[in-house]
Amino acid sequence: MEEVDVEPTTTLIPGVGLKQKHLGFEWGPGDILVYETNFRPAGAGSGCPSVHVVRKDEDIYSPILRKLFNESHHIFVGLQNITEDVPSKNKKPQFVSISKNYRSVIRACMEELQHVAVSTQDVTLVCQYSNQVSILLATELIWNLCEVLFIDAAPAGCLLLHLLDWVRLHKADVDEKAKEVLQSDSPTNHLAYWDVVISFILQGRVDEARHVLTKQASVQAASRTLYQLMDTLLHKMPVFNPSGTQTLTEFDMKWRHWHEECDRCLQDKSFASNPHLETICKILLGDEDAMLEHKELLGTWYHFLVSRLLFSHPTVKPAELHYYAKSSMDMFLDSRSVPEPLDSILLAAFEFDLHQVIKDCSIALNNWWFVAHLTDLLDHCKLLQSHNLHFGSNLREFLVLEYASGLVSHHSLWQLAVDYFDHCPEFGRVYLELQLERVPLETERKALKVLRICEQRHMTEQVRSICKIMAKRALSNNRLGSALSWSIRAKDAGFATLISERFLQDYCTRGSFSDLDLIDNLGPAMLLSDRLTFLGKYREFHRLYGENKFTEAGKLLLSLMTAKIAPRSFWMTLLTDALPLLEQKEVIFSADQTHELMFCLEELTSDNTEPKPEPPALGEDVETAKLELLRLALARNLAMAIVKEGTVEA
Amino acid sequence: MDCINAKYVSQKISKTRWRPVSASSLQQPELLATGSWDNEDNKVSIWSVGENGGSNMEDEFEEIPVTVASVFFFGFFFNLFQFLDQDRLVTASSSGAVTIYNLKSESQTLSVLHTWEGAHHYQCARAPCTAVVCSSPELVSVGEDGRVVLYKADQSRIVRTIENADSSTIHAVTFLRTAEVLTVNSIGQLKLWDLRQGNEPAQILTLTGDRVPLHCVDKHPNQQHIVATGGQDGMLCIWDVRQGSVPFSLMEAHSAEMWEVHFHPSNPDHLFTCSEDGSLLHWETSSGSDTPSFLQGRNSSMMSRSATAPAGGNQSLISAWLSGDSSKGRLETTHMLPSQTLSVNSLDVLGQCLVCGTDGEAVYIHRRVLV
Amino acid sequence: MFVARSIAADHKDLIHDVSYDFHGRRMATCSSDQSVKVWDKSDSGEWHCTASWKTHSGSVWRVTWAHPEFGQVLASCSFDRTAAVWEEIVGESNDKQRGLSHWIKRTTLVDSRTSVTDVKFAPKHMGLVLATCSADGVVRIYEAPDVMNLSQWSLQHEISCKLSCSCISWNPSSSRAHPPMISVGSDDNNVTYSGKVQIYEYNENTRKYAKAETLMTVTDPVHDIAFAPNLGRSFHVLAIATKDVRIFKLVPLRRDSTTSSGPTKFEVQLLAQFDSHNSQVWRVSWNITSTLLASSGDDGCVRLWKANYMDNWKCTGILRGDGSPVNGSSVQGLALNTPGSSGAPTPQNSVAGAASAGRYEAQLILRMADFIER
Repeated sequence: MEEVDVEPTTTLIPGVGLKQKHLGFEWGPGDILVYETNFRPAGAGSGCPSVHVVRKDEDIYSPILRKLFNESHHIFVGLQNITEDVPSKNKKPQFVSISKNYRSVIRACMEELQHVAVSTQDVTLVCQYSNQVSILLATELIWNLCEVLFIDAAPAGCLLLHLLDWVRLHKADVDEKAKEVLQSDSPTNHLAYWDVVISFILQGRVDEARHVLTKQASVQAASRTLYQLMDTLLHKMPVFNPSGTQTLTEFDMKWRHWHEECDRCLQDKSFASNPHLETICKILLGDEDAMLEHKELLGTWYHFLVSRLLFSHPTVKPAELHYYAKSSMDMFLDSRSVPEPLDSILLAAFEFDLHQVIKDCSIALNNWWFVAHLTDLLDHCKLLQSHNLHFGSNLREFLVLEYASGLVSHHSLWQLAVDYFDHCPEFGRVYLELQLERVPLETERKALKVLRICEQRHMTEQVRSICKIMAKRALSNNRLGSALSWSIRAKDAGFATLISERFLQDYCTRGSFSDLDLIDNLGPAMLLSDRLTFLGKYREFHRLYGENKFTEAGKLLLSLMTAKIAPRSFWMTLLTDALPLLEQKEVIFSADQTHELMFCLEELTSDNTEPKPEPPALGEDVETAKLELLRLALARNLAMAIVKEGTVEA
Repeated sequence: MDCINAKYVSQKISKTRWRPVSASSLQQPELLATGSWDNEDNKVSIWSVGENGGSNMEDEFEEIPVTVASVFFFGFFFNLFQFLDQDRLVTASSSGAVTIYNLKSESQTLSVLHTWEGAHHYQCARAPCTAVVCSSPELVSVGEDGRVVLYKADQSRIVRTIENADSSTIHAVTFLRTAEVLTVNSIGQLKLWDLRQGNEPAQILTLTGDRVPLHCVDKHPNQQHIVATGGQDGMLCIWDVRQGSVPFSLMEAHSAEMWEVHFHPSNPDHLFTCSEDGSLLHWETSSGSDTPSFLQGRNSSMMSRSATAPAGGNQSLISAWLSGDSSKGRLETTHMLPSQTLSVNSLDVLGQCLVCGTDGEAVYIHRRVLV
Repeated sequence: MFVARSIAADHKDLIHDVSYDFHGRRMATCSSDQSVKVWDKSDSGEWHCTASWKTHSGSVWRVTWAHPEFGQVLASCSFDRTAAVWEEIVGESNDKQRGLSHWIKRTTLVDSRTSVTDVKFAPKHMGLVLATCSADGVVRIYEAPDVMNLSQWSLQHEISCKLSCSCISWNPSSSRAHPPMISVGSDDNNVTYSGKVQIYEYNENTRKYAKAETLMTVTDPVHDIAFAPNLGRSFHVLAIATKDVRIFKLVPLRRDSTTSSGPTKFEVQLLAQFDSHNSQVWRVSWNITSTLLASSGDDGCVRLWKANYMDNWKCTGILRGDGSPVNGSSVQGLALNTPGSSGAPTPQNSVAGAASAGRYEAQLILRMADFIER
């Protein structure tokens, strides 16, 4: 069977193409930008061009369909988890119930769409809604048939019962018409009276047909016996009871018997006086021409197929279906009319050609929601592996990826896509990585949500990148504390160094630290970068000094220089910080420590290649004066320390 | 589980709140407000919830038709709000604006009373507001800019701003008593502010050296010194702000960020938490004595309990609240949602009614919470 | 697909390039009017121009964003023989609150002696690296060693391609198995029989870029070139805009131990070739996950190409101006959700008849388009 071929759809961009020859474009996350341009190097220019935002589809923006996406996400996740905790046998009832859940979500969505379509005034909206309803309707029709044929896989006997249910569900207008007829003043004279009776018969709703027929019987006293006879025939019509003890052979015997009885009635012209009843009798006998006279009541070839099976082959086996399906379609459709995609899809289903169904659906429907979920379910039922070997689960992954990619490009539905990507073993992870890092991070809260998804999946590079972006943004907003927190989370040593330097710079200019709550609580995070360690330790020095713990403060200060934690450019500041300690009444620095301080000072001053550490506001004079002061204080302290140490030892 | 109702609302929910009922009446709340996020048109919606107090499990809740729709729409990325009182609602947006609305339930309209534009801002740009709390007539908002801003509902001028209240993002705020608020930040600190005093916090409490961000805070309704917080690691902490600067007890609650924690307003032995991991937990301490069970232990203890209990699990996990000197205290946790999927961003509980909203675009209502 | 909104770009001359930032929240446009404009998307989805400034003294051909890890940084290239790097700065004024932003020029790259035809930032794992190519046949690779100081750029490599260059594309793969790689396309009309696409690869040992491959089968002028995202595969996929659209697969050959110091050799396979643009193709570009390729050509259309699960490529969508002359395939109707004249239900009967899956359901299915994504 050849592929359903669909031409690519063309989207027209209003007001474009008049002045310039070419269309430029740019991919966006959920859309594509297009603009008029001329790529030829010598192309003539013109002003006032526009940029047009072209979105890929409309349905994803429909609030009602969003419910479908969210609810089915729930079912999808449930289905993926089933496999693990239930033994592989006995799963059929679960799969059938999941299939029913999906369908009930489609139904609910459809009903809501119908509801709003009725209450909307806007014609284009009504159109949109009703289109969506038709899509869902067809979707459900196909899904339901697949459920009957593939997932439930009913055997002969039950098969027809399921197919009848299928047809009844999708041709429900009989009920409305029946209601209208029965509630009218004179049902028997209603124009649609016989249509209702025949529709009921065609759907195998015998009891309802009998009920409607009694109306006629009660007014036409003359032909009461005739109606009595029909009623008996209908009443006796055997129906297979799957839960009963009756075997299929017994049922078949009974059915043949009944069939012969109907045939007798027709042969002896019992109903000749009433053409309607005669038609019904013919239908009961499976007369195809009689059925085809009521094409408009059948509506579709597949209704015809089911009615035909009901009255000619009630014990049809799954394997025989394709023959009846093809011939029903040929009989029902005019020879000149070409089968529509939906016809081909249903026919493929009756032929049990699953791949053709999915392929045609994905081409004709362009409906990733449907094919992705259906294929996934069929794959879980192990229906895809059994035949076609080359792309069984690839097909599932391909479709699920397509669906999830659509979701992830939506500004709000992107979260739903994550679980779908998770269940695509081959490319799911790469797709998720590529898409997640593109999710805009409008607030920290959203960033945290994206980060959580990445962290749970150990996407270290994405985690780092997101934190880095947030840190960079905080820095540009002058929020040093936040920037530092983010770079600590990103474990980005380089950036942490940079921010630490900003803190130190601010300290040098202002003489006090900002963001103490953060710096005082760095904890082990301090070790991320040398500069950050220095910042933390230097702040600790100030705290100790503030708490009058001079000895500890002095020791820490010195170690910052001797252990080379402090950057050289900062030594002068540190030495200046030592000044008040040197000038305390009691000796803080020991003789050894003072020597080391002096050594540091000499190292600093002898090294002329270092740029001047102090801000330029302080002049050269101040600088020299400070040096002198330091030397003096150090010398004095050394003297005092030697004296003191000598005294203690003595 | 059977008395929980779910409704898909086609928007991710950032906040859910019951409209307060008058303290004297024992009636159940009837009106519910939800805020959306991550949409192109974010809004606050008001819903009416079935009349007959949960007697009928089939209760549907319906959105009130909006007569003045435009005022519901914010156009901002993330919406938060609180009820100031029965008739007034305060919103705080990711563009840094704080707005008071008047809710007229008879006419089903929401009208702007006052807006403080750009209450939260950086040097040159607007900063997202992260939380707002009300203690009529005062309200306080906090934001990513590290500011604490105090307003009075009837004054158009901002009463007070504490600049640089935090070097990191402040995630949540609660009133402890008049003029005293408690903020939690992204480096695991609680800061107690006396709004009558200077620009320095009166007290700083720190989780540990781990700097795990805290996302939510709630105070015990009767004993203001008892405070519950929830963190990025899903841990629930109980603090006694009078005692020391470390938490009183720590409990593993969720496997991801805890977004909200609420003491039950009239029965504070019950506590509710919700999380990014998609779960909603009901915590119940049953104490043998009259003293509130939160005060019974003195030792910090870790209770191991997996928040990723099987979906649909009705089972309760029973464990002693604290294992120390109090053997009477017991703590019971129950999963409130039938299954876990996407983040539960917000919850509110009033009387027997509980509501929560998720990133799965569902609002769940429970009308018979056993408290 | 449908046009969601149109933005009056307000350039005084032709727009040559439009570029989205990494997150799709900002865009930059450049034009023959010598200016660049930056646009920001508001929370409600509308676009506002937040900056517009004169960038060059000639037509600006291309504008491109650096990864946001490096801040808000743009690069532009122009007919004026220069490329420039721009950075958004947060000033002291309240501009940003008024919805304006400031961009300052960090550097002008003046090494080219002819028009600079393309400019592209390297993948972020390589640091802040920028490549330009020019009509004089040289690809230049610059680096900002200190990402906090964008005024210092050093010219790291000059690759002489010997053909006038029109376009470049970095290989986005961050896999350690793949050394940095850049492909260059040439629109040189003077040399007819040589390959117009060259691929250069960085060699760790020599610290130089060396030619790894020339696609000898591409002899017509090349206007654009694009590596697809790698998706963790061992091979590379390259799309080329020339007189048609071509997609090549480059499979690295196992290195011979004796020649291990040389550049990687590739087995080059032609995956697909489409000539439906009828004549020259000017731009090609992949979407984020490389499931779709877009191309723009002389037929005035943008065409979208997609591979199915069997790796068969097909055109799945066409964008066309409504004023452009119709040639080739017929126009199929504006939006898929607008009812056609025949076979389509009127709104009323569609709703009422929704419950009855009638015959027209089959017709409707033809128009069931784009449920989730085309």
